[in-house]
Amino acid sequence: MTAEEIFIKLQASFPGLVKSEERIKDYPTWTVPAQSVRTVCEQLRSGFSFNYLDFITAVDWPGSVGNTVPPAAGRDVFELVYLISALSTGVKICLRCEISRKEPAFIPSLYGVFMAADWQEREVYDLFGIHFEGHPNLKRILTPETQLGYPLRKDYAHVPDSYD
Amino acid sequence: MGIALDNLSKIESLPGGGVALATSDFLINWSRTSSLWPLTFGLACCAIEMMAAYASRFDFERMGVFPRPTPRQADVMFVAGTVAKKMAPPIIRIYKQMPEPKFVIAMGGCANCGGPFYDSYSVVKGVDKIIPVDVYLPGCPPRPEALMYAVIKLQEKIRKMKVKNNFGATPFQNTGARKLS
Repeated sequence: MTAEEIFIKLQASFPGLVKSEERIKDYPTWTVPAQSVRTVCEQLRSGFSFNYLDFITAVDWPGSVGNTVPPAAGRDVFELVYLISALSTGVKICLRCEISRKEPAFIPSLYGVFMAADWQEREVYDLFGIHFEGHPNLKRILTPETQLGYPLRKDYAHVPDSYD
Repeated sequence: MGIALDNLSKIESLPGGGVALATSDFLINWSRTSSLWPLTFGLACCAIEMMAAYASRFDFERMGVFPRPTPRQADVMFVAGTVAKKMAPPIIRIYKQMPEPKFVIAMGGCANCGGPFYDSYSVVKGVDKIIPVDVYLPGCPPRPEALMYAVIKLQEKIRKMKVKNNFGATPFQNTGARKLS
């Protein structure tokens, strides 16, 4: 089953699911409402044998600050990017969703759907401060416990510590 | 008397006897310089050069540099690579587990001062912020010959150590490069 057929089948139950204008690399790229990302992934896993989460990452679009080129201009969001694969058919699908940049930023966790989501979500939480609702162990994974703030946010200001 | 001892100029044999005389400083420093056992311990890409130095082409074992898998048996720590802040507490811990006298060679730009990661939020700006360093070895990464030069420099430093100063052991200093002699 191609990505196009999967999209048509899924869109019947998720009207918010649309194709993204920008493709990420050559992957079929879909934009998902943030609140339904977990159910979309559950559907993809159970109905279309998508059994592998390649990665989760995030992009910080800090509003008008420093972003004058469309389409980034004026976007004040965190953009979450998921790449999931069906290993049996080799189809890969890229899911994007946007959440408000207001503190605290929340998105449903994929914990329990994909094994890889556990540490990946902890990494995104560590570096971007995005809270994954439903993750049972959401704490810093890469930076030390003494780290203040979230380093990959555009407005991160480093506070020197004893190692600097 | 073995060949090694016969070749040492500062050792005198008594006529007709099996007794040799030497200063204790000389004997202790000779044994320390000839058996600098490093900890098998690498942090980043410099560790690849360090491994090459141990292997047959450069063969540090001919200088008595013989990697040990436990800090309890190690004399010298090659800090080979970038020291992340998350890694700093384990480095302090294994440094404390090494027996005195203990020496540290900071290998590469990252271990010296943070190197290309100087502006990073997650990198310690030089391993001398957390443990005392004896020899700073620049390079990115330094070649095995450069590491050999650092070991030779450390041996020169050890040869100047004196028993009367703090029992020959490393003085407990918390920060900065150390003066051993």
